[in-house]
Amino acid sequence: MSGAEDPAGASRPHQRPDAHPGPLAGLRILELGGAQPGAYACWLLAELGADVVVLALRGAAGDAQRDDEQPATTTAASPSADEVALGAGKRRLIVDPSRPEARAIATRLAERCDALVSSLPERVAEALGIGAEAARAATPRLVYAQASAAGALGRDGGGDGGGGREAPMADIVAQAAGGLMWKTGLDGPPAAAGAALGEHGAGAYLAAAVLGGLTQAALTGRGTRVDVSLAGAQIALQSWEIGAQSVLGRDAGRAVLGHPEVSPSAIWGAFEAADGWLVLGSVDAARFQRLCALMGLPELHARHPDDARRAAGIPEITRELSARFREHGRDHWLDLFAEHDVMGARVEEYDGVLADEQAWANGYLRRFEHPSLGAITVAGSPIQFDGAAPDGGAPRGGVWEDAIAPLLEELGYDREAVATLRASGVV
Amino acid sequence: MAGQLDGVRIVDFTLYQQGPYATVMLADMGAEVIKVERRQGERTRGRADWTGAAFYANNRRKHSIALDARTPQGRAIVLRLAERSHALVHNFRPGVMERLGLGYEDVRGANAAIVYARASGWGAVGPRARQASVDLIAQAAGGVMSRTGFEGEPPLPLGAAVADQLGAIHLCSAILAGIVRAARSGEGSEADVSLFGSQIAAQGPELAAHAMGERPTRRAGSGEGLRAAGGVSGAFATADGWIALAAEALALPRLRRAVGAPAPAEREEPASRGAGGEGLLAALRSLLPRRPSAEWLARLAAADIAAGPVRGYAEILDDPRARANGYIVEVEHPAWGRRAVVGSPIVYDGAPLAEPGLPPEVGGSTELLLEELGYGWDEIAALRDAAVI
Repeated sequence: MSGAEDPAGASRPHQRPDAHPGPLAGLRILELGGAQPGAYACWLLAELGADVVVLALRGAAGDAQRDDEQPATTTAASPSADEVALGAGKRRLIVDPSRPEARAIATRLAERCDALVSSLPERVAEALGIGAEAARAATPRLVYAQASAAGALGRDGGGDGGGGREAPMADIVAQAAGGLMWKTGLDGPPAAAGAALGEHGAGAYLAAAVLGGLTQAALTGRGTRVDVSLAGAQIALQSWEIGAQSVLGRDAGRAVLGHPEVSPSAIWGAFEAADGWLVLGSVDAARFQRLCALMGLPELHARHPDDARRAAGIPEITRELSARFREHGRDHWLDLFAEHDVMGARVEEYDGVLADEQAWANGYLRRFEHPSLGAITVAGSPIQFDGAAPDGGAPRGGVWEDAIAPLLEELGYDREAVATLRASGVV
Repeated sequence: MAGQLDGVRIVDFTLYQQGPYATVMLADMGAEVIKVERRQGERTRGRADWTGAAFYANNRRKHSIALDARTPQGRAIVLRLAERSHALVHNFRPGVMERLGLGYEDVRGANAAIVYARASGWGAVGPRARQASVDLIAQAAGGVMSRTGFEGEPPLPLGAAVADQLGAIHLCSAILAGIVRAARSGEGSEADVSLFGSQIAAQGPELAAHAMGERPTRRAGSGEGLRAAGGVSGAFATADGWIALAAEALALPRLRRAVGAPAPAEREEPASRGAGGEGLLAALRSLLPRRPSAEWLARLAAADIAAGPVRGYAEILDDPRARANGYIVEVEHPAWGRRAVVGSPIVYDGAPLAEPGLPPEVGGSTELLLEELGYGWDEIAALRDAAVI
């Protein structure tokens, strides 16, 4: 069922079983290390149909995992949530990097890939013979993507605490150095985003960066090297807000319950209803009139009938809306708003998100049968192609017979060689 | 030097942030992005307030064609443009483009290989598919707000329009994936990318952890409530500011030594999941205010612990490393003069983005493009007389 060289990838044994293979079907990505932000980027590429192989190194070392001496066993009975969430659709091959055979596996794998995505320090890839220079020389159309904490260039400068050495990557450090923590919050301590957006945001940019390279390769046959960092991603996530401070020459302060730039002159923020918090966004002139009518506050609209007076009256409007919101629960208000195209939403807890019909209808959440955990819910791709959510499928990593052995056979090892690699502990 | 997307053309109908920032990313990669504008230009053009800054950031490096797409001649121009483009992207609600005669089927009729992408609030289907959305709505509905903030205080929105940006980045990826498919197979595609879906995706591991029964004991706070993989992470006050640090379980002894915290009585417990790590958090909170940030950061770097300062935008705008990588670049703007702005976080072939570019004049490329599409000068004059362009 496997084995033969097949440049078009049409008959790969691990081809996704679903009817909608995704736009990247036939492309193979080597994810080196399995750490963030590469794990997120390659999860998305797998969701889009690419065949992602994670090359994990036993007993070694990513920046984020350099202290983890535990070999990550793919058949573990209790995989981490990260492995479950981001392992979907990937195959995982664990090698002992101290063995020379590991180098041969890594180079053979890289030669059969369209992109290599590394979240490990460059010296790790170099030791495996798949550093950028060597891998690109061997495979000119390869897209070689490298993630770092603060960027590939200018390592000797910068106020990020790196001090000229390659700093370890960490979500909270990126959120702090990138300004988001300082902008988030009321007036107390800096506040972290409630999810690892330092890592996942960089992962999203990394996926786009790899796709830019894959597009060039598809159109011209030329490969490329691409660098993305946690620091750069944090800055770019706040692209217009950082620019606004620069070009307008003033500091807009913190977000408080809305947005630092938008909320001072617009109805854009969180309000407490009788049973919890909701938000209102983008209340323009027509929506403000409807909002006031729906909330029984027509005189509030009468006092602020146009854009200029509404913008100038935000503190007063906020006070009156806040008082009125507390009189009813969230469903009361949001049902009214939905009927009249006023944009509002519950500040949803994770239980609510996981139960949200809208998310399930679009494939943003899906359920699968995990070999050791049973039925489990994970996030799906935010990208729908041709009306169907591409389905990356359940994690398949490490199920020896049906994933790893065929992979090694594709790399040119015969059955006997595969057995030897396994028996001697290389893989 | 040539960009990655040299020769790639994008027809861009998008407004506000999610769509326009996605196409800025494509422009930064070298694509020719043609902003299709109404003849009066997009509403927030040229304003002196934050909307002008947002317009700049979300429209730099683009070209503009101004036309009335509601007229048959305007529609014909768009279809001819689509015929010579790789992708068309819009962020209208379902039905709007169809009413203009510019739905996927119409455009595919002109170009079977085109990627037809829509930036949406909630996704293509489902009970809220027709509802409008914006950044804050997505942050609330996607769950991140409920996890952001401090115990006993309100849930907090993020300090910037990060939901719009995440929606944009995923939209950029969708367009590129579609172009890759078209280049390999000749097949076009239709894609929908939503703010809501992007929020869920970007919290994939956190949502999976929740679904697996892992319950954080508190909101994220200054980071101490985030999932810390058995270690500790957070921001802490120092003698002269705040620093953030993160250490995984096996690095905790090194962290203790670096900050002079006493060894734990028993095995270290994850700080964010139980009471055991509270001791270390308390030690960090009492020890770090005794010395300035720079001293702590040097010690932590020597111990190979990830750490950095909590910075504001002013420091970021001046950061030499951010500038070396093109994350912050300078632009000569006709109204503002020379200013630092945000560039691209993606560096291809070791050459950071040097020139962020400017937004186009309204209709700045209209005539040039019409000529390229085969319109003669009298036809162009007639279109102008008929107020199509």
